[in-house]
Amino acid sequence: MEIELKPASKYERKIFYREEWDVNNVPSFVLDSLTSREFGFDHFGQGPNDRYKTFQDPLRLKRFIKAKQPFAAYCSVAFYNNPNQRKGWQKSELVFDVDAKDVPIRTCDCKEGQVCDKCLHQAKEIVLMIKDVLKGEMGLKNINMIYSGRGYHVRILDENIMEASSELRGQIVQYVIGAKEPDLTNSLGFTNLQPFIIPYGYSKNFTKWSKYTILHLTKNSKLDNVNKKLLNDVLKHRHVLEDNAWGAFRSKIGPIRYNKVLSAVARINMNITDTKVSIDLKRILRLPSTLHSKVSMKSTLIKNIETFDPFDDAVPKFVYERK
Amino acid sequence: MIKTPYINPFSSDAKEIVSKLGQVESLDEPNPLLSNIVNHTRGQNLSDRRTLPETIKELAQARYEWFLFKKTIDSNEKKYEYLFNPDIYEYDVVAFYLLCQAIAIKYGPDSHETRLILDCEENIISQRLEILKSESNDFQSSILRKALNQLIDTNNIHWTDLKEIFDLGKLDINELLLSNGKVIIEYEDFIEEFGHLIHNRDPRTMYEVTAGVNIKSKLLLNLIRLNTKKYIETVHEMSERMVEPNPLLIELAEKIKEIQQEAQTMKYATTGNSQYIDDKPVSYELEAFPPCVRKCMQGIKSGGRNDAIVLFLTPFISYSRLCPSIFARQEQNMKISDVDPSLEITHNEIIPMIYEAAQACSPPLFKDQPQEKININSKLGFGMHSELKLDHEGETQWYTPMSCEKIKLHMPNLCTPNKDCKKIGNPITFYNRKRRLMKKDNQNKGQVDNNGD
Repeated sequence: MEIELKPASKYERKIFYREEWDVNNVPSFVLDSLTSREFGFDHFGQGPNDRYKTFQDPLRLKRFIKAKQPFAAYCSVAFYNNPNQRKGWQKSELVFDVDAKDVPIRTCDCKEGQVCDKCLHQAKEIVLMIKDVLKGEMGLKNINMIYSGRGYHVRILDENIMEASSELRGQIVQYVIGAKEPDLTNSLGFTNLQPFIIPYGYSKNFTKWSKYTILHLTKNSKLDNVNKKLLNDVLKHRHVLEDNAWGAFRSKIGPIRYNKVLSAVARINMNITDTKVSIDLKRILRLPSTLHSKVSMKSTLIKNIETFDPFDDAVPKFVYERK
Repeated sequence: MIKTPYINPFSSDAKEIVSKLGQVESLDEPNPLLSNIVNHTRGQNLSDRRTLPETIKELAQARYEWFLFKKTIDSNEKKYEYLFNPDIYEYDVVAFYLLCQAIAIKYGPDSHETRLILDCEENIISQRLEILKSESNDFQSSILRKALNQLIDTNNIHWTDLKEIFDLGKLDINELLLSNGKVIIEYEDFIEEFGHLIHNRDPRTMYEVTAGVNIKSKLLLNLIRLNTKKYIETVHEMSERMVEPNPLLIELAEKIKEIQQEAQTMKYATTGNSQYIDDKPVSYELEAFPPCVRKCMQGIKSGGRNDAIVLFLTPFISYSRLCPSIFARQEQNMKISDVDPSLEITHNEIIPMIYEAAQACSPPLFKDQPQEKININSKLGFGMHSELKLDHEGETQWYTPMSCEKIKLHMPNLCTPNKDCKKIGNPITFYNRKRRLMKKDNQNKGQVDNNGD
């Protein structure tokens, strides 16, 4: 059955919250810190304007949600002493928000603001790459992946990172998504060092993301300071990157033009996640287990990202009952 | 032989020296051993003996002078050559602590003086490390290792342990080599983690190019900066419980102020008219606006409108009209009424320009988010009120223009740099530089025209 990503009706919301939603499906990383978090609700589909809500225990959260059947439910990434006033900030999860509709290198034919199987799959690929860097290079362990309804949230709860400042989070995001050209100036006199010859550290990461971005460009992609002719040349020669033949790619494009492409690619990489979400210490994010009413999908904690398929694992029952 | 305290005043040796030589009463007495080192420093200018330090207190002043006069017409490196003689390390360490204490007690940890002493120490150690570069890499590496290991374990440190260092804003995570969370600093760890990935290239060279002495130096400088900051905070806290500080420290603190004023006068004498120093209102020069500001003024699409108009454009438009040289000022905690006492310019020029950009957004910003008018007032320093009134000024801070780094994070779509953006860190710096260049161009043009006549 083909799943249509259309809005849920008020009746469907009611059915979902009465019959399907279970407070026990809210991830333990939220329930364990319930009293320290701020909750926010969107009751009418106009944005989360019912904020500063707090719950003393899961039972009260359950009663509220079952009774209100909100259009959308959110909880803070921040932990507060007084969450009902958003005061006494203690710490915040580190978050990466990959929204399929905002992936800058979508290869599907979706219209602006829409998502499809293909771009959701691409968002998943990106999340997997993010997870690799977080685990491998950054050595983080408490990494939770959530399907948000139209994309993915990566929520990190390692204690040693939760007190990080907004500025540091900005640096982490740039590292993880390869959004900054590596600075390879050195005092040894090597003036023409290229990131692709360095098989470790940030250079390796930047090269990996650059490859991903270049291989997903289309003839309609818009890159700063890259004209149509240069874009066409990139598309023509990019196949050599599949074998990581960066030297060949650079010489085919020409060194000056190659530098232009890499600068533009770094800027595209910056848009792979919503950086505003990552640096905001007081953000509220969709509450996993609840309904994304705009697309009729469940926000779902992912147990195994490799096998996760939103169209199998995040579709509410009422969607199958639609005529 | 280089002793660790010469490049790390927080080493255990340094602390021993301070307890040995740091008796307050002796700090203002002529010290023949110190004079001997100064007089026997290679390349030292001895022509004006009055300027040579004879006491540790004078040495403390000299450290500060060296840094502040560096960029003035009175800059004469040879006058302070002794600061770069490794033999001075014992007196130098005591002088450093004396200077920190004087600043902590008199001016506190958030003062301009504290920022200057942090920069001063960084510059001194940095120059000492620069001189060390004439030695072999192995020598540099081992001395840095010794100095660093007094502060961190260079064989076992997680990047999250350096959080405070990253917050100083002088070292980026992407400059470090990470593996499973561990920061790779030493060569043996580098080989263990990455050796198997390196083919057809010399691993030692790869290490030096991507980490090596460069990263060790950066880490050391940042750790010293952080420890100096913390030390000043601690001394300041303690001083608040003290009955009366030592008069020597007060004297030194006052001398520091005098040095600063002198350096300030010289700085302006040096720069003459060549800099664009506007700390009073100047007319807009729209052609000098950077590409991000121009883009924002043409209107922003739904999604990024609020941050672009409120956080980004409002500070830029207000500072570019009222005080473009904000970042050249010592005191950056300004109010609009300091430069526009009647708020006439603010009401007649600044607000209309911001509102026009808000109107150009799609959909127009105030149509669905009228509360953003209050947010704009708040970012101009007038609190969360719907009207701009002098009575409310100071309830919030007048936001300074966002740096390019922050713009890239908050509003990546806004940043489409052109060739003039190179090496620019803030749109207001772009604006000031561009205005200067435009003025120069116009003058040259004028001269050509006159010659033509």
